[in-house]
Amino acid sequence: MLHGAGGNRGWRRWMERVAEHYTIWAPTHPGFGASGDAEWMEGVDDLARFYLWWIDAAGLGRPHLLGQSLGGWTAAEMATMSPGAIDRLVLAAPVGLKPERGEILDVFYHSPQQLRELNVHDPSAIPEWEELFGRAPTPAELEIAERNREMTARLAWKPYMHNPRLERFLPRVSNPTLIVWGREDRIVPAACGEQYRRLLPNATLTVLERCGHLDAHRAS
Amino acid sequence: MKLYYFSEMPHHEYPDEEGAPAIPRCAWPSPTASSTVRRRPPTTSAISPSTSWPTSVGFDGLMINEHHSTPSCVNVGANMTAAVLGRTTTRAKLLILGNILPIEDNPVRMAEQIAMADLISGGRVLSGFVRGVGVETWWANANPVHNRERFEECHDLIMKCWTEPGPFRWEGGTITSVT
Repeated sequence: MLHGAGGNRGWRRWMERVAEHYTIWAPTHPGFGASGDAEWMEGVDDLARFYLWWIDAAGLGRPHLLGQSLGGWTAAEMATMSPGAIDRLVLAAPVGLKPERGEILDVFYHSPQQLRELNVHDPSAIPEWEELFGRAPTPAELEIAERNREMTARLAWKPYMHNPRLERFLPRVSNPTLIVWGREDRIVPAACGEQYRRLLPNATLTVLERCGHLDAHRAS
Repeated sequence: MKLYYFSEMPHHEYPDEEGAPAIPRCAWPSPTASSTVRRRPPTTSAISPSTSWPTSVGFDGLMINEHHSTPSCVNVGANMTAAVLGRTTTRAKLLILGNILPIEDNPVRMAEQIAMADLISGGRVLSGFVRGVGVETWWANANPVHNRERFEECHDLIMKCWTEPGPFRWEGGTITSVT
């Protein structure tokens, strides 16, 4: 499970349910949270290389990959580099492609408070909302949020949140893929889901109604 | 000690309520949609190219700076202003403080422009470099995580342009150039 730009949100309820059938590995990306620095990384392709090494190092065999937003882009890059190293793919509202219509929201222009609102369609529909965002963050949490933002800038500043070359490579990825998107996603246009579906030869797209960007992660 | 006259060339006509969110931090690009800038051009009288009074009252020179996308400073080209002042003043030192290196994509061109302003003014330019603030970093789409290394690399390349014979090839961490 590869997390998004907001960082690793820890053990969530949906993971509990998935864990009834699978073993979940949910690492925190280098440079995020309490992981070590990764100043050598210059883009998501570097992060993808790292995780391909990591799959080997951790002896995971040929795992399914689930990626959310920035993590979804990373998963897609990994699949283009080494499709045989991965079983099935689940991409939840991944960035990585330049939208044919609209644009990916500039997360560096918006404040954390604004992003929290833009991230979801309806907070009351998210069972863990209070637990995740119901109180003011501690200084330590603010520090981590700043670190996550910095590493996101390192990975995805320019070109912003996409790789113009990715669409060249995706047609070679024949892994069974599920793409999940929220119709009301205000971070990454839902139209990008259609672009991913068109480019990946073995993909299914599910668009959820009354669902925003973060909600799609949970629903995946 | 040297004394320099300095104005940031703010947009005085900018209403407080429009500027308030941007000015205190000088960190946020000002929206142009509702901008008074379009209706009322900013005055540049604070550092008018025809004014030589600062030196006549004892200042050693004029200091010029630069920012982008903010009403708190409408001087968007310090070297351009230095070149104009080079022709409209006769004695004042022209302290550029400074050129914003991390957002500069072509340091060689910057080296040329500073050198030309120095020639126009008869050798009165003092060149300073700064790292810039959030507002122009975002405005220039320059990745802030590379701010320090780009500053150092631009500085080294400009100094090499001014002090060493060319042509030479520059293969840096963030800048490549043939000069």
